[in-house]
Amino acid sequence: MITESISTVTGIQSLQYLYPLIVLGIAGFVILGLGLVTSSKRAYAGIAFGSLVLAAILLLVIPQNTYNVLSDSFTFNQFGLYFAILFLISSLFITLPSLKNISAKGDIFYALLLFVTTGMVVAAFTMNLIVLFISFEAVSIGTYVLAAFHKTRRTLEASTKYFFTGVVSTSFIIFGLAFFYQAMGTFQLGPAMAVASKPALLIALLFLTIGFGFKVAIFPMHQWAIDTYYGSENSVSAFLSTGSKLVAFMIMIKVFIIGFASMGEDVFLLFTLLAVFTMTYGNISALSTTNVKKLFAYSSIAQAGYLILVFSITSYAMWSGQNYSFIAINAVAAAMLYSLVYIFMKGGAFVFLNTVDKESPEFSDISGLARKSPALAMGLSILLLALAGIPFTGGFTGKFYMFLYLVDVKLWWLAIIAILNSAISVFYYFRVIMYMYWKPESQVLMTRSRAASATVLISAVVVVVIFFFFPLFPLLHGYATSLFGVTG
Amino acid sequence: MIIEYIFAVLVAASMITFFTGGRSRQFARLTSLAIAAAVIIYSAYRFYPGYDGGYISTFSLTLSSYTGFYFSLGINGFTDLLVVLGSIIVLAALFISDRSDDPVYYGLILLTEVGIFGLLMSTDLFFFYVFWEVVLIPVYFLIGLYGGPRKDSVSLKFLVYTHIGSVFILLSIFTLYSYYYSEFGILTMQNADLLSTPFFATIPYFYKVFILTGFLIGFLVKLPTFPLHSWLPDSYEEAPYPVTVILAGALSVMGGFGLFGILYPLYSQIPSFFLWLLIALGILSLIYFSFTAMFQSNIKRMMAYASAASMGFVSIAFGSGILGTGNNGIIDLAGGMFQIFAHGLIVAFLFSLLYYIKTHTGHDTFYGLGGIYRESPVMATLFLGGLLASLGLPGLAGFVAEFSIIAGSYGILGPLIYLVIFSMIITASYHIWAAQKALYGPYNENLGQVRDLSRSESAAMIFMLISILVIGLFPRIVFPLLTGYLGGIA
Amino acid sequence: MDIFIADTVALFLFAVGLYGVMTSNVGIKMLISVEIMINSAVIALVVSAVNSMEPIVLALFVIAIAAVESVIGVSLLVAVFRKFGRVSISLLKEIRE
Repeated sequence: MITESISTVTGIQSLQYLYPLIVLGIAGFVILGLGLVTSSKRAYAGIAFGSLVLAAILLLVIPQNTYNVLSDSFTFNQFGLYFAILFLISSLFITLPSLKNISAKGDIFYALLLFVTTGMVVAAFTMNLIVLFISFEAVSIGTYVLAAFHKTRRTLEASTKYFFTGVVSTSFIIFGLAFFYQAMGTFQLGPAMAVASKPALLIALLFLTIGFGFKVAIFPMHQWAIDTYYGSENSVSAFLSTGSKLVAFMIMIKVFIIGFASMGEDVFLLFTLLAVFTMTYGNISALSTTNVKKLFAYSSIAQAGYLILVFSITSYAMWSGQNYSFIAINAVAAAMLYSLVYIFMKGGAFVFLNTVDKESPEFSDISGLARKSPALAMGLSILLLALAGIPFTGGFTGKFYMFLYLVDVKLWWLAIIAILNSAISVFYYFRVIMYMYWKPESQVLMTRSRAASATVLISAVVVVVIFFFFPLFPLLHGYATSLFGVTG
Repeated sequence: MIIEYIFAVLVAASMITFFTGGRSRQFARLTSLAIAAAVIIYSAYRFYPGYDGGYISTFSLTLSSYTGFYFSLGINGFTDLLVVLGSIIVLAALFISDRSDDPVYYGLILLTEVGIFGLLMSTDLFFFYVFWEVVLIPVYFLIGLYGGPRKDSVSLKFLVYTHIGSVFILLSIFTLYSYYYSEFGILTMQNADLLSTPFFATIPYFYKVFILTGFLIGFLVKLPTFPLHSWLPDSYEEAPYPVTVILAGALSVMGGFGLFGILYPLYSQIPSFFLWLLIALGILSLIYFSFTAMFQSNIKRMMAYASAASMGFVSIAFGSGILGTGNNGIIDLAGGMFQIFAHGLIVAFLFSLLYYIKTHTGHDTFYGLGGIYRESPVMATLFLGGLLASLGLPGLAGFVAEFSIIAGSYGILGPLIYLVIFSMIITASYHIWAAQKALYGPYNENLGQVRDLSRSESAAMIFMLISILVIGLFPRIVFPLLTGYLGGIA
Repeated sequence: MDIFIADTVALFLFAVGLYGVMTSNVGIKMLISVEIMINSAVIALVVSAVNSMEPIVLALFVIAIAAVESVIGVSLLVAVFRKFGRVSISLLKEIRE
């Protein structure tokens, strides 16, 4: 009897869609259990790495057509699949580099990492706001603990700030969801949703923007991000500013592009304002800092500003009644491309800090790096070039498409602001390059962290390869179509 | 197809240079010599039999037909001339490089050449922009790694300034791309499509102005023109001499190419106030730079301003040439393009010689020098030749360009032409004055013994001077390419 | 109309909680204020369950998640107490000197 009811709920063949999640969850518990037997960090990391890779492979082999499971609470589509793989990459990114800094309780670290990743993958595969919220919380709660790992004064402070802003943002999200339901009468996101009450939807827009904006670190809600990225352990910062941020960003794409599709004007005004302030604030603050980690933290805020331009594009296309399906799908594809590049350039940049034998190095601490380890300096330079959006790196490609559709939707003034911001950012990225290449060598030693160096170099290579891989964008365009083609 | 192979060889060689270790200098010199020879032979072979406009030897590789990206190369009379110029300038820069076997240095110089070739030969606006940006990076590293005492701030200033100029070009390209799609439903980045007059005529007036302004900002920063020039003197001064040769010779080529190669095909659609603005800026920069150059004590800085001043002729020629009609317009435009070429050759020659003066005497200021003709007559004479070419002495390349520009634009400028003539007089005066102070007059005994140019050095320099002279005496070598190019568009 | 009144109450409670978080300096007080915020949101959720039980489902999950968050919060504050001696938030300025 029981088996029959399970099969009616899930459908036998639909179980294969859940394999990646099952693998990640089981591996997490295995690591926890292993913690009782052995204290070998390498074993934990190995299992975590293996299960992440296995999950990625399983994701790649499942059928790519849109498919709903568990009475629509899961929606498998190519858009979700793409982001699920991005999240796995962002976790893989820190699995090995973090080995160096984990001194005790490695089992908890890696198990948490896997649980958080599970939450991310769930978030990728759902169009239901209840499931989205729960998976989002799974990510948040896990990362509160990750940020506090080691319990030093710095990480505790970082985590406490992160925790309180995170919890406040959670309550904003719940409130927003309540109003969203009052306005829409459903938690299921889909095309052509009927609006029952416009004021309630406006309140929901405001509350959800604040709630998710905290995680993406949009301008007025950014303050925790600088402290937390700056205070946490390097690989955790990498994870927070890539994986955790992109989860919130992906949820925002689902909520604000699909859910609020009827509110073009309001979404446009709100997000354009936020985007302009976010990128300008991030870039202007980054100009004056002399600390490498802080610079990455600020630049991470500026990058969030470029990311959320996608909402301006789609909502303006909706508001001004232009060729919505063409522009919205392309803009989402541009955002997907940017997210991919972003993981590598930002993650690589934060992981780079693991190779410097000093907590939160200043510019002067990495000066002369090019003579100490030319390959590493080259790798970081490529990542910085990508962050600045210089051609022959994927960073250029990402910004190129984003700004292209900004112009395409005829938001010239916003494009000018964005592109000038990006031009200003060149200044501080190249200052780091300047220190690395033509300043006298500093006394600070480099650690022999092979995992971190390899990660930096691999991400540098990937970032360059993305530029030369031109069929990527049409591919992503196809994936983005599946987001708009959901059948409720 | 041959020019594409040359380009591919150059790309490969520039990469290999980074790994050549102790023999990088030899390798880079040989490469650039081979490239220059190949380019010159190629252009003699392809363009000598008669050229009547359009692209020759095109090549196209589909990268993504969905987004309309093609890696397409092609060459026309004008770009061929600039490619020749670029290869000669890089050759000169490498010839005077004495940095013993630093593979990074030579690799970066060749990478700069790759960028310049790429942007000149791209017939696709996407790759035009990519190469346009890519030129900045090696030059930034060259100034930063090998520059003078203020290299930190100067290299950043150079990069940020020119990068901000470039992003406006990108905005214009986006606008063209977007309008082409909404007009024809095709996504394309091809020059032939986006820069075609019938298409451009369909764009609303406001956005036409927007597009042209974006392009102009980018091009005028590189040219450079009066209000957008402040990166120039610092960068020229702080860069090592070979890099200054490239900066002065090749980077201003980029601005000139932008005007004549990118914007000229749209000439009938450019509003006349834009052209007048260009003329005004050209005259302003002529006068302003000439006066500023007059008050410099550092010869390198003075030559930097002189170089910027002579690029003022280019924007005057562009503006008045399009406004002008018939033969005068053609002469004017061809003169402007000739000026880009001549200016590139002359400044490369001047800065190379200045480099020798600096290394042999240890000075490049008027205070430090004086009467070096007594000790090193060959060097001094050659430098005088360069100065005379730069001020536009008849018989040398600069004169041909300036004469055709003035003759062609007289009908348009009217009395304004006196301002141009006036600035030419100033130019002449400070050039002569510089020669008098630095080369002739009483010898500055503090210098002690000054070595003259060695045999190979003087051979190379004499060769360059002769080529300037030959082009000045027989401009018919070059003009058919330019008029052919103009004819192909009209 | 009933929903309107309930929403107003919920918003009021939410504002109270937000005020508490923003003005308080003591970790435990902040935690309590956050709980008020979350629970006010639960009220808003519950009253919107007019046509279906979906918001109630979410409300149940929210209550569970709120419990988890308090656990994390309290354990964080215990750790802060051990390192810093107090749970005053103003002590946390290691990072920005």
